[in-house]
Amino acid sequence: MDVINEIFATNKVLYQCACGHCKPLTHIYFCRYCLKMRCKDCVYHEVDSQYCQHCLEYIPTIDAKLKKNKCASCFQCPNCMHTLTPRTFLASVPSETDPNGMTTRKAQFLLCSYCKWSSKDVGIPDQFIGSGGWPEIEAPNRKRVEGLVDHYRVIAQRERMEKEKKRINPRPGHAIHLLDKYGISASLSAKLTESLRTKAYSGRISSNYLSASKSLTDIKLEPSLATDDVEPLDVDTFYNKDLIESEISSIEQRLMQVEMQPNTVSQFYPISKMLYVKRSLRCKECDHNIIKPEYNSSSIKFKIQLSAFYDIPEVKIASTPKLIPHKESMVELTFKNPYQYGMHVCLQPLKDEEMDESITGKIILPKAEFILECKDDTLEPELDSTQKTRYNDDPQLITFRRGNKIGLRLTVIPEIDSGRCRVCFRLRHDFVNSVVQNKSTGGSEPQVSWISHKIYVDLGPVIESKESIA
Amino acid sequence: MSASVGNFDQTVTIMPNAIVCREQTTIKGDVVIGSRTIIQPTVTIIAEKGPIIIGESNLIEEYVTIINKTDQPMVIGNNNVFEVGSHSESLEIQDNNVLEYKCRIGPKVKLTNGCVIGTMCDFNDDLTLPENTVVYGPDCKMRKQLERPALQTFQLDFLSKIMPNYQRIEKPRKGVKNDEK
Ligand SMILES: [Zn+2]
Ligand SMILES: [Zn+2]
Ligand SMILES: [Zn+2]
Ligand SMILES: [Zn+2]
Repeated sequence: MDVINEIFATNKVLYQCACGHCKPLTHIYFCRYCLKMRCKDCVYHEVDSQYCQHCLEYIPTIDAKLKKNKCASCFQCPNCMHTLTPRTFLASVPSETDPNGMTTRKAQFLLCSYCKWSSKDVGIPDQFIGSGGWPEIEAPNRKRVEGLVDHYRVIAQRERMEKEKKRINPRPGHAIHLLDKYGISASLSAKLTESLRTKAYSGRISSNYLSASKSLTDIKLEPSLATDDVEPLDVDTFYNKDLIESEISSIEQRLMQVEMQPNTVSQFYPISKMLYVKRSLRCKECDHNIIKPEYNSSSIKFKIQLSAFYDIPEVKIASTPKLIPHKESMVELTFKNPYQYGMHVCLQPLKDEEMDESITGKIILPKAEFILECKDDTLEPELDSTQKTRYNDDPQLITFRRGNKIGLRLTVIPEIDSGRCRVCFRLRHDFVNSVVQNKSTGGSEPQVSWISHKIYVDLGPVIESKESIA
Repeated sequence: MSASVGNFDQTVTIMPNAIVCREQTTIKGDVVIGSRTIIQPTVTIIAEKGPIIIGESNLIEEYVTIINKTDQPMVIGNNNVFEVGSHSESLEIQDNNVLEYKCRIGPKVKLTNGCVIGTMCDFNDDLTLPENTVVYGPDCKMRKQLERPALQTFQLDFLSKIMPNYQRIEKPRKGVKNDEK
């Protein structure tokens, strides 16, 4: 696991997203339309479809909402959260035709193969096959919660109507109704939801008037009352009885069954599996999809996947030297081009106003521009001996060149006496856009643009000199 | 060849109807194997000092290790299942217990009846597990099960029919005590 984290989620090299957040390359998207980095904090998240991660059944959005986003046939263990397996056996039941005789019928109970919890443990009767699933238990506060939800829905609808009356120049058709359905719109900025709403509801105001005409008086809801009566504390159960640990549920177990919150193990009930969603991500600036998964719930592929590690050069630390405060050290960084076109790359220092406190070292960057070859899966770098001579590489700067990968030796001066040495620079490169064609040349030539990224490299702790300690 | 035909001490007693596969099986020291018990290939049972007494109708699967490192006798009852790769140094295992894949129990643990030691559990508390206890998860959490694990009668019957067709089986025999020599 550590090895995998080291490769895919290392925090040593961070790229700054267009929104200002710094993330490892594997967590960043690259919008090929705006030519900007995006991260999960600065894109729209849209729910594409719901499915059960266990039986992989696709569940339409409307159904999912009715079923409280739970799968009807899959359960997890209330004791250890492992998925429960249905066990089928032949049970003998009184025969329908012969009042004295017995017949057998297929029946099921649920069993956890991990901790051996079973539906028999809590006395849930076995289910006969074809009798229509496991009964759901009624949550104690269900009525009240539903009443409140209805109440606030009417209020929200009324407020929306009032706002819409003032609207001018609306445009139809948008995914805002999806956002609303999952309450995502609440987490977006008010300004944004507003603009989306305009687009979405304009064409449908008249139809909405009908459904929203249900007035607040239709829903009879008793307001909550504060009370002075407190249930007396039952000291006996807390202090005078022996505690049997195996009969009491843990906090974790209680929170997993949040509607019921059983105090004892005997009140456990199988938990319905929550549905998972497939999300697509959309660029906030240009409205293009950045991530679009395939519809099929068993597929792990994407229709659109604009992850940055397909387009942006990957920077890695090849070797970290001993970092002595205020002394020059040589650091080797590698640059790898994952893209199908070659790139001209140059490294630029930050402008003074771009500096921040987290930068604790100075890096001396080469003035020269260098070329990163395109990614070529068929190339065998060891056999390609012409590569060395093809580029007139300065051996003082470039330590190696292998296919689309190149190593650079750079000088670093830590500017702190203790702590971690972080350096920052701008990586500027050209990007041949295979998606967006250049309009001025009639769409025949791909568009080439120069883009640059701010990259933070954490080189690790400096060696504290003895004098500074003393 | 010698490794594949098994490694048995003269002191090992095998009761009639027990099926002990010879291939890469090591049984050393004062060991008694009860009737209808099935020992699959690649099992290691070593009685270093104290004896090991294994009861009837136990199922001991591949790569299981049972070691008695103490002077005390190690007693294993009836109808227990040792799943693949489990390791036991427990001195007392009564009836109907299951040791799941790759679990490990130390010499201080005692099992009564119907206990389950979960997969990969490494358990060495100085404890006698009450009946129907299930030990599970990386933290060896414990809970009480309503019913005992099901008997493996069908599996035992099946294996005792099929094993002799494919495996060399060590014949039943009476072990020779070291001091009788
Ligand atoms: Zn961002
Ligand atoms: Zn399901
Ligand atoms: Zn469980
Ligand atoms: Zn964009």
